[in-house]
Amino acid sequence: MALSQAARTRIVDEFIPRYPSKRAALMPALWLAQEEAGWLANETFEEIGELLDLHVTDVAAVASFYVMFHRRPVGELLIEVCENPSCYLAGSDATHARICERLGLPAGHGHGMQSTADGKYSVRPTECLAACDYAPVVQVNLRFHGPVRADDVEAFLDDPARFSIEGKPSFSMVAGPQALAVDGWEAGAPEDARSQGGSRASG
Amino acid sequence: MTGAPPPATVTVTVDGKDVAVPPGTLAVEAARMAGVDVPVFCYHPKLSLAGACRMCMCEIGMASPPGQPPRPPGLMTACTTRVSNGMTINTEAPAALKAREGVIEFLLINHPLDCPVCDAGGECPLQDNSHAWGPKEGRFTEQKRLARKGAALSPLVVLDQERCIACYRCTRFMDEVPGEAELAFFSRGFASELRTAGDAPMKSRFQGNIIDLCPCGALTSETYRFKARPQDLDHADSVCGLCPVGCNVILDTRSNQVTRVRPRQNEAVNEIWVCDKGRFAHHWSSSPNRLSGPWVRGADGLHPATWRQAYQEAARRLAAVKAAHGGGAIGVIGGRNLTNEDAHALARFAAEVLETPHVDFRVGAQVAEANPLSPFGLDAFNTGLDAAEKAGAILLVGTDVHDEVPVQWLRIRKGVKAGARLVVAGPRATEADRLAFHRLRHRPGSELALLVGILAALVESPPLDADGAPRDLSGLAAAIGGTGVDQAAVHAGVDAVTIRAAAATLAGARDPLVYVGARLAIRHDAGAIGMAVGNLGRALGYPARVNFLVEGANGRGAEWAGLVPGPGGLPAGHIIAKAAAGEIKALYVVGENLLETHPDAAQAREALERAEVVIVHELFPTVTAQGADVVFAATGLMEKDGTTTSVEGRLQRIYAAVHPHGSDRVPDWRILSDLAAAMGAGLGYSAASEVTKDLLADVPAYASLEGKLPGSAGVLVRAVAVPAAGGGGFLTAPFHLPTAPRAAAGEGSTTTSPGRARMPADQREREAPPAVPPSPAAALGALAAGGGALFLVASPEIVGHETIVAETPELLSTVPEAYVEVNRDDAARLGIVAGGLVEVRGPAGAVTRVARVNGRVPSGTCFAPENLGSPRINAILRWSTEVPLVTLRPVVVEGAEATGAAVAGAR
Ligand code: SF4
Ligand code: SF4
Ligand code: FES
Ligand code: FES
Repeated sequence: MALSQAARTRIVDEFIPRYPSKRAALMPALWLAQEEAGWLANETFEEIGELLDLHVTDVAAVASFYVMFHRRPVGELLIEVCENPSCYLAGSDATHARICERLGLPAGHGHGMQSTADGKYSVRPTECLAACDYAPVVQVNLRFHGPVRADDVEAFLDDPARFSIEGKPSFSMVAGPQALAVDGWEAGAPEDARSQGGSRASG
Repeated sequence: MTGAPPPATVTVTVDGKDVAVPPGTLAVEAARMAGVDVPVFCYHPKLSLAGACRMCMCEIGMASPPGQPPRPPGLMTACTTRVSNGMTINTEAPAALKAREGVIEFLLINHPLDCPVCDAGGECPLQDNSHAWGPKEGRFTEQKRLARKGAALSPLVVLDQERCIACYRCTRFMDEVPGEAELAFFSRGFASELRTAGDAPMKSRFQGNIIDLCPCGALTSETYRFKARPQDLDHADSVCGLCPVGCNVILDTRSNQVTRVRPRQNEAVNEIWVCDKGRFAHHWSSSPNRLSGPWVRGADGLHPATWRQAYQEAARRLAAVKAAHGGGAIGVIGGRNLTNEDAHALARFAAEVLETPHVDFRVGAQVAEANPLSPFGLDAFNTGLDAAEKAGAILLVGTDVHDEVPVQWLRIRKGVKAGARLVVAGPRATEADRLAFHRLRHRPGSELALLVGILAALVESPPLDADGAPRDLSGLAAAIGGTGVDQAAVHAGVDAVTIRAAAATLAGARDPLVYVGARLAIRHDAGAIGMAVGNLGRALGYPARVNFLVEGANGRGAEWAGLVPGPGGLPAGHIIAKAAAGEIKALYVVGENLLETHPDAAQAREALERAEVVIVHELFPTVTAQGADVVFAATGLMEKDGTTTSVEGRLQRIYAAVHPHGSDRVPDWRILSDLAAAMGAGLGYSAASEVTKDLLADVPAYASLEGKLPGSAGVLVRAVAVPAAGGGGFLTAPFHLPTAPRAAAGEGSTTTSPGRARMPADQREREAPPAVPPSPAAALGALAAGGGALFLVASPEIVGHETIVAETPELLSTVPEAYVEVNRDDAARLGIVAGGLVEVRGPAGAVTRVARVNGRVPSGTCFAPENLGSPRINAILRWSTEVPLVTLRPVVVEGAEATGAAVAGAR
């Protein structure tokens, strides 16, 4: 699970100089490592610790604070079902249960992250995704999808893209707000990103 | 808004009482100064501020600006609020009481309240504060959080996560004091738990301190768990007997056994810390493996004897040697781990009864003079330990302070955090390198050349005097014989730029401090190194801020009590060499397992075998004791009343925690007094206090005490009156640097010669140990021909496989397998893989070690800890003035048991 040379270079040459202290580069470094490997292994913490002069425990502890950093491998599709009030009132618990059922996983919110044996899917409940106007909202690999009602689950699993919410871009933690780089959103068009992002904030 | 200087004090009102406190004082401390204890959990005066627990809430009011209406006071955390003039701190305002009650109620929501089975019960701030400030009952009736209980954070520290109140004292300590942030809170909120990365066991040698810091029973000691209740324990104030720092400790005992060791606060010595060796290695005292009485050798080997028999036998044998060869045929070695009283009795015994000048506590010593700074009229150690806290720069030469003086390393760290620039000189990376401002990675054995290089750099650009003029160092230029930085740099193997930069740092620093390792004070070139170090102090304008460390818990005390060669006396290394050569006929060894601690195991064994008489004082039946003619079973430092003197020269009292009644062990001073009586001489001691009285009267260092013993903090004394600052000229060191470093022989070898500065021939004649085996050049050639000759650097780790450690299995289990540290390039060249077995072959044999492959040693050098493995690394070395050369060869699995010629292992 070693960091690629490109990632190391990027951490050293780009992230570290960006901040007044090396430790501040930890979050983008972790994110970059996760983007590469899909999850964060202990050796990765050690490598990052070495680059940033941090004790490996410090690195691991910071990563453990955020649910978006994965300490275990996750499926190719990470499906996160919002369980907060707006979505819940719109039936997200049933959506979650149906997704689990269709994937052969035990249903119910108490399970946290669950993955299918083939490594294709991981499912977990999540907190408000700030897209309540599309409740019940489901996030797939950090892209918003919704509304996905229980009855929509088969169709959704067939082709999640059909439920993708236009104009709600995901966010690159590595590049930061200056350079939102997602499909269809060219890096270097931050003005656009912001204006569109702003217009969608209907709630 | 005025330009007036800030006031020297500000006045605050604590519970209606006015106190003047320094500006910047925390409200909690201001209250304390007013005699009011504000309850706290997360606040700790030795740690950074966290404001994590909210227990210290007080109603705090600020004075309002003139003409403004008064501001209402509010609840604030006293531990993070700094005082301002006119502040009112109401610690028992109804709102504060209510807030505290709420904090306790919340803390206890998820606290298991298993006080009846909790080690902390009876000495628990959470318990105390709950009783004092908590609500009568809590309202929480749900299921409490369940979490890890009895989880080992390491073999030494156990975590009960349910009891943890998340005060962050432990994590702050690890991060801030030893700088080993190996413990942290993982996850967050309700799910937070203390863990290490990958749940690896904690490795720090200071981790035991978090047990003391934890304000509840979340962190407990594996060795003390479920052993006692605090109210069952008796206490004795003592001083740790495991290294020369002399940390103050409290020995807690139950049924005449030490159950735990706690630090005793002494701000001048250990503050409130101890290292894990000092804390955990106490089980030796109650070990069934101890010698329980004296032994005497008969025709059929050693057998138990009565004390009377043992005294008579020892007296008879010693008298016979004395009669046949004179007292000068007897060598006395050891005494670095005794009390001053024992040391004084031993010094008297050697001088008055044995009548020999060959006395030395400094195992392996190659020079007779014990204090390398004596030509400067200085003690070997001249500052207090706390000086490291306020120094502007600290130079470390020839010492791994983390392992040699562990708790002092914490003080040095504190100094560095306060701005001191650390200059670390050494042949390999040590813990101190992590904080180094300059790293001077010199060739093994070339410390003198390096020091001369620093002196030459100072001559080039002298420090400025108070008036801004460069100091006149022409005397120094002459003293170093005009040696230039570049010339010295070549010999030291360090680039001249770094030497100049380090010298400039030292020259520009306020109150610079120099620490030199104990080994450099006993090595063949100690005299010259002392000259260089003394000159350095003078050149920097701080003649009395240069310090040599010493080995042994009471090495300084032994030095001052006179356990050093008398006129014409031989140093310890030479005593062994002469005994091995048959010239010294009897050895009197006190508390020293020479087969493990003398640098040449074969020579030590030869000496012990060849000597006609060997008398040993010991705690355990060590291999050395097993070869003796008479073995006296002695008591250890935790079992003695008396005094010790720490590395800095602090005379401290110790009180026996364990009384030998019922056992047949006797303090060393009494053995010596009784043996003297059996030899018809009589030192005439029947109580430790009598020896103390003599000690204070006879030893010049203690004259200033006028016969009075110090109180619990001890007293810093000096053997030599410290001269006024700046006084004295420069002294010429008896050394010269060879014109070119010897080139390494052998193909494929990247080794380079250590730039050992040579003494002039006549000096060498006098100081060089006799019977040094083959010429180093020949050895180098022979070994290099094998393709893998490396210089070997060896020094002890803080915790090793010593007998005393082995009696605490939990501590022993944290000691790594014996290893050899090799540079990656050398490893690649020699086919050595990390974690693989390696045969280390030296001039006297070979041992097998596990390879550590890294960049901590430079190419051409390897490192092996002295106190790990059986046999020890001294099994392959010869006692010599040369840096040893070894060859490394990966071991194929079938040959894994090939451990070479060697003595048997630990005892
Ligand atoms: S284990 Fe003890 S010291 Fe550490 S955070 Fe918990 S209560 Fe505080
Ligand atoms: S630093 Fe030395 S004196 Fe202090 S506890 Fe450790 S071994 Fe004992
Ligand atoms: S509650 Fe589901 S997106 Fe806000
Ligand atoms: S003691 Fe003040 S917040 Fe913890």
